[in-house]
Amino acid sequence: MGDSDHMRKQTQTRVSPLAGSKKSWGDRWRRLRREKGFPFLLTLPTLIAVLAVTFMPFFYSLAMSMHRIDMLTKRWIFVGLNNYLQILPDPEFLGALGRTTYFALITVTGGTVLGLVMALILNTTFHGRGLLRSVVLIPWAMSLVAVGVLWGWIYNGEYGPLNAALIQLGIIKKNIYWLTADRALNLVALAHVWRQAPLATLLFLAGLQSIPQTLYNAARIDGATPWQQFWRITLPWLKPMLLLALIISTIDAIMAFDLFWILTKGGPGSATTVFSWLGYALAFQFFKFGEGASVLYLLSLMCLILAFFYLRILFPREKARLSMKTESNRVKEAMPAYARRIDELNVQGLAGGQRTRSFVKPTLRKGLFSATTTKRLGRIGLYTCAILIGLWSFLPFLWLIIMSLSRSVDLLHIPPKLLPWPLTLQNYQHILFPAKGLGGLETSVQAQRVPYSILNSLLVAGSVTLINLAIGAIAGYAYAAYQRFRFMRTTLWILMMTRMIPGLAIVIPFFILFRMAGLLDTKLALIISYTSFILPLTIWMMKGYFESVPPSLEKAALVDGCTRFKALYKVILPVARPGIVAAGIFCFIVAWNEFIFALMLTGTPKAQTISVIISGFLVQARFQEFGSLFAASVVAVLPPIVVAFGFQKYLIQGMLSGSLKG
Amino acid sequence: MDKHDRDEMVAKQKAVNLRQYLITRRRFLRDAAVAMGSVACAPLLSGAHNAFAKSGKPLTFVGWQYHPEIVAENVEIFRKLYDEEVSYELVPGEYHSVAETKLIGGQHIDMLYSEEDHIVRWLKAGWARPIEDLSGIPEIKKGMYDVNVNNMSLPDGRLMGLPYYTGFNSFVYNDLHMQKAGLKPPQSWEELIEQCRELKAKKISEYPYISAWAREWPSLSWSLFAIWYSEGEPVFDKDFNPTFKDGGVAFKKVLEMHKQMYDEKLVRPDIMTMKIEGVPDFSTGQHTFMVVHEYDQKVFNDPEQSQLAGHCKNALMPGKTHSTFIWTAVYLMGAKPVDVERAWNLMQFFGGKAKDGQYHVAKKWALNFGLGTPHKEVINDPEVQADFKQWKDTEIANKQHEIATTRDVAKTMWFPEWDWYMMGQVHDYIRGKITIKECIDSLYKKAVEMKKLYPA
Repeated sequence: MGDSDHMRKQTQTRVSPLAGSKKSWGDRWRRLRREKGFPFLLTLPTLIAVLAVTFMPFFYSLAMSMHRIDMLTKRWIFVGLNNYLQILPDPEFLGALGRTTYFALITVTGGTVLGLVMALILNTTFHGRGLLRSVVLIPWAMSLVAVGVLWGWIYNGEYGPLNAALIQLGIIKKNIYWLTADRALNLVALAHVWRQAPLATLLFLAGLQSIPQTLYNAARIDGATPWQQFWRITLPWLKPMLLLALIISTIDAIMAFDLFWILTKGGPGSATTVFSWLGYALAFQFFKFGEGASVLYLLSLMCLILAFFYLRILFPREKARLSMKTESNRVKEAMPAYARRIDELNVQGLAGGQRTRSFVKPTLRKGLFSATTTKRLGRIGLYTCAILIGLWSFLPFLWLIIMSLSRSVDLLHIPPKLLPWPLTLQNYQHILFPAKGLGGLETSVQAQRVPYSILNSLLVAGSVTLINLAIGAIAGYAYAAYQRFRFMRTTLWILMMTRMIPGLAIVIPFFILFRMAGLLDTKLALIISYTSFILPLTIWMMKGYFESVPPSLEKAALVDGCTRFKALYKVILPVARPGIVAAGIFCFIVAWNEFIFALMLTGTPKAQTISVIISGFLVQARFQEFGSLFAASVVAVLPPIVVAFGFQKYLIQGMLSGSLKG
Repeated sequence: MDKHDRDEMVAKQKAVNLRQYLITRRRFLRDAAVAMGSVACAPLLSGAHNAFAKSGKPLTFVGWQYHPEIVAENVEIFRKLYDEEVSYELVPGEYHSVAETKLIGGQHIDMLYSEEDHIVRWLKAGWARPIEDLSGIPEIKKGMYDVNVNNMSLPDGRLMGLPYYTGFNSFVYNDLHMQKAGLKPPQSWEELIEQCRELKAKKISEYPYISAWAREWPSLSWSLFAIWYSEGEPVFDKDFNPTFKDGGVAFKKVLEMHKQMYDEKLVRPDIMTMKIEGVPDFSTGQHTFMVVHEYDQKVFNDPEQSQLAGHCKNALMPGKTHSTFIWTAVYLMGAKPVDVERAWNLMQFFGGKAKDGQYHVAKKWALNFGLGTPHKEVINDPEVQADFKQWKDTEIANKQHEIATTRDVAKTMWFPEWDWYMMGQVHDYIRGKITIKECIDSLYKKAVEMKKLYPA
């Protein structure tokens, strides 16, 4: 009998009383309290934090979508689902639907594949891996406004560096005007993938840490090729993280707004008018809040449908679990997640040395090259990939650094130059040592605010990260370990659904809520709102990680006399350190770069964060202020990168190796 | 203010900022303990907060992102001159959208920036009030150009605000290119196209014409209206009915001209996504003609920012009337200021003459950034005139100002929606997605539909 069969029997034995012999109500209550009280207690802080904050804004904006609202005269006319029904046949809506679908398809596919490839490379040992792990995160650590301005500059047909590079490499002879109607959507997608792929990398990297090395060893003994190991071990093991990466990247793609706002404004014509832009235009340009909210809620619906689609594709059995109809389902449900995974692997014949119907032992072939040559070629391939990843991640940022060291006039050189000359530190002087300014003027207020806004961002992002890890990690554990309870499954999806509500739809109720609480223009308002957005994703990340932690570890701790809390604190959390670190980096960067709510909820330097300050350079400031914008963008990337660099050493493989005996 | 004063002021401001920051940090730590509870009990707390908000308060002033360091300096001068407290909030992002969101959310504001196209809207929403009843209005009106007074007034003639600045779309050209080709500024748009072809053929400029064609608020729409007005096309009549159903005076002609320039590659292929209104692009010195906000000519002639510094000249707009589109940005007073008299002082200081008889703000904008002002006294100031002459032909600019046309239709509630739709349709026409007839029909239909939806 395999390990997993043995475990399944144990589980069945443990679970069978649940099926229910006759018990008194008192017994049932005590059992309920004993069995479900613990997970409920672990998730309670999270549920309060998320639902208390999002409850009112959600229903307020949902109500908006069912009204025709004139915000100016404050008249609300109930129209039921008419806003939705009127939008659906509208050609403009259908066009936006097609473009949104196309955009989501290419960015989710591109971002996920690229993220996975980068994670696999970064999970291999090589010189400079620590540095590259931080470099890879740079695009994601950048403010979206800065990313938009940077790529707008890169794509510029006259003085843009892309043309400069292609001309100097002899690939093109004449400037290409990139952002034309037929290319614009794809180019925005490219910029989006550049920024989003590192998030997928982080998730996959965290997932890769939990794969026991013994599985690969066993596979190698069985003669499995690296390709087979990837398909039969790595990918199945990464399914929870793949699900999360797909859901997050889909939400981000469907809700994408900032890059369109900066790069194309939905144009030329309607060539890049996607859903979010349409919703924004309706709600905030024309103040048709009802119609705008209904468009934005259709985005949520799209996200939800796709999330369930991913779930069905990746976890066909989850479908059965949700229905909870049969006894066998209940039994399977009660199995620890990792045991199911081992079970799957057993079926494929890679765990425990068993071979089955689906795994055919490969014939050992003599390669073209000797083992040493093969190894050497492998190293060359690895370093080539690492260099390409480094260039892809760093080159656009390098251009940002160059621009931050240049005078405005030198950036407008024709033909474009890859290295404008002379370089100057003037822009950094403006933002770091305010009051010595350009042309005799004082440094702009915006530039003066950079140091304070960075401190604000540090406080906000740091607090959000700590709160998320403190309550999100234990909730993630509860959701991983007790997913057999309907309450846990339901609340998990409710939490995830809160993440699918478009920020633009709930920004007004948020404003009203915080105004009533007297918290407008405070860092506290940002911490509360960010915590409520980020917690669901933290939980999903942690759940994905905890599912790979064997329950035997907890059992052993309980046998040794630990309380459940102590077992969690002393045993479970330490082995989940890579997952916690990845979640921490995730929380910090998302909180660091949030823009829409920071823009609306703050008004003065005492609470404004760096993303708001950076965006402030853009509007009306004219390009002569871009030097400060670029310098501020470079400085703003440093804290998250330092955090990522400092903690990436904990993203090490094998923390669970040796504990996977079942 | 001399440099010493300014340094002292900056040092004080920094000290205040740091103090504020440290206090805020302590407050933040204290508040963190009650964070969740306070949001959960938000409605209960609101009463207490409002009670606090009623006592003596600083004036609140909200503005958009255009050299806020100068605004902050002006706020400081006002504080000293009037012994007042002012809280200045800077709104990044899309100003009118963000400001309206905050106003809908109930934020109190005593004075705020606005473009003329929002004054009626904000009055109807109950966020701003007319200032016709306040002291000294007849004299103030007398000291300004009529065209600007009209800009800042309601359709019934009541004045809504005082001027922040005035601007118009100007026709500028690259003198180096013109000399090389032996050309003189074109008098008509047909002549401009001929000159563009010649410049392209002689390889002096590959894309001789450039203007803001992006689908955003101050870009394609402003550029088109300037050209329509230059050809005598009103677009909307005095009752705001569309005049272009059958092609108008020159509505169709101007659109066709734009398509022609795009098709013949006299403009860049990416002109519809060009950023920052094309200002850096013209600064490269690669293009010959541009219709652009007047004050940008100062940027084009600044060697720190432009490759064509010293060679950007202005001329009257080509076209039958040579008119252009003129606008006036204003300071509005909030509907319920903490104190009307105090708020009026603030408005007069920023939008007119302070109690010491000086135009502190308008003159500073004019000297430092070339912003125009409706105040004749400031425009005629020898110091301002001398500065303007360094980067533009003031005689031509003054003439252009005099014959410019205000876009009164922008004061209707529905105009922003039509305007945004119009830019999309025009893009689609220029790209060849729809015909000129489809384009004009759809714009006409939209205007009629909008007018019905939002009756005056």
